[in-house]
Amino acid sequence: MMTEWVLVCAADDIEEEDVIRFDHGDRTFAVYRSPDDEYYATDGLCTHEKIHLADGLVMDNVIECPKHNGRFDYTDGSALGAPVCVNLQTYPVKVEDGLVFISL
Amino acid sequence: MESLTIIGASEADTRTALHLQERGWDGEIVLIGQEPHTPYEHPPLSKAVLTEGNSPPLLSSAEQLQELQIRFLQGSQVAEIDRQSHRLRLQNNEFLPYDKLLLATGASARRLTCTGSEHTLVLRNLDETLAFRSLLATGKHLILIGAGFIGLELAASARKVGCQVTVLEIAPRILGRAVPAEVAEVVASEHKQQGVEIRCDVKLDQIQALKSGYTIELKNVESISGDLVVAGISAVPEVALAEAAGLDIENGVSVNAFQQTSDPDIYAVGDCCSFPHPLYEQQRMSLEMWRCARDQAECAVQNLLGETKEFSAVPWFWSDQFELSLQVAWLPSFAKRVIPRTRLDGVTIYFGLNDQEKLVSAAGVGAGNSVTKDIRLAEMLIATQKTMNPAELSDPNLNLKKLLKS
Repeated sequence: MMTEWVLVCAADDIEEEDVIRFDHGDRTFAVYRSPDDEYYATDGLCTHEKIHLADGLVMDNVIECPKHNGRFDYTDGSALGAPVCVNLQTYPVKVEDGLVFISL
Repeated sequence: MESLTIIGASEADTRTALHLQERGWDGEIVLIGQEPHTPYEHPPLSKAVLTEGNSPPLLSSAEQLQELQIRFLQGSQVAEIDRQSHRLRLQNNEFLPYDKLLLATGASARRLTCTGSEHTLVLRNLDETLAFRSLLATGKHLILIGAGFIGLELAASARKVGCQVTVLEIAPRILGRAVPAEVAEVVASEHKQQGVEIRCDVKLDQIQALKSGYTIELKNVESISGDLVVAGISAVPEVALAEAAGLDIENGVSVNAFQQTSDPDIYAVGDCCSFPHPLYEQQRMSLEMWRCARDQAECAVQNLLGETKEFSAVPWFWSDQFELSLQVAWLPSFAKRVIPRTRLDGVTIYFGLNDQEKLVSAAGVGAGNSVTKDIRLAEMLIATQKTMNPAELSDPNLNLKKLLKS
């Protein structure tokens, strides 16, 4: 199957060491820009209680759920301890001509 | 191999058991829960459990506890801690030996003392919440006494399911010293807009049962009648067992920086304990805060495993009411002056500075999770104990993360 690359936003729309919410169809994602200027994407909702992660704080390569402080490494989706125990699904990201795309 | 027995099966206690297992504690762990339920999360009780009738998420399933070889005594009560012989006597007169003991007995709802106070309901646990939910119905008039967090969350939930709601508060304004007046004002106006009537500065005289419903007589103003009366007037640390066992009590079970009570084999965490806080000149405090309980549990775990870990987390709490979420880091009552930071989206964060211009608190309220990032960053700034520049704090164009890293 061909990979479908979906346009998210301009690369500059995400601040360094920050995250934005991206809705596509009936799904929601979180797209990140790391302190060293790499882009990543994960499912948008926390695996604990379905809270939008994009409202949370990004520090280095960690996103913290805004509600109950569950933490994930957004570069590989791994849950970093209670109250979250289920990893986040991650998605490939590419930046071309100043635009960010994710592969769903 | 040492055994650990934990009294309580709520947030702090269950997490402790799970953490210890994760970190390789090789002794027996016994978890004693008073309620007839598998350990569950408490914060949703006043919110989704009431409005949707959802069961609260479990902290751990019975299978998981079994798998981790945590012995869970459900619906079991401790009658006595016998420190001399290192054993507990349960209500059914069974004896249970322990090597280390962790008290996480929580807090119970403070009761009204006026005449007729027996007519008021209180909500602390799942059964009380479900019983209360079954009494709520469209058009019923609920009277809440106390405009603190629990009272206002219950007001919002009851309103959502169609009740008429009146909140009575003895103080001149809602939320007391827990948040700056400006934040309280945003919350009060949301309640008003949603049809909740809040009456401040009222004094209760007595509560009378009518044929159907109740009348609350107030001092100097007209009385008020409703179908249900609920009191949400703070909580009292559960110290009875600890006190009877001769442990030091000081507005809670007194613990040191390591969550250890006056008996080195007994630890206490969460709402039942009082502890010295290193970020506030070791002032002793007792807090009813979900995350604080969790952080203290983690701290106790490390100390039980032989490390030396002082509790130092910045107190933080949140409350959801209607579409608003309010968050507070630290305790605004410790601030000498307040610096507002009004963001471009119109939301204001209120920073509290002490005499030395160090950040001691931050509070904000906004739709959904809109204040989370700023409050979280403020928490980290508080922990650094750095002197702040008020002009920078109030400048919405300056990223707080930059201040943290500078």
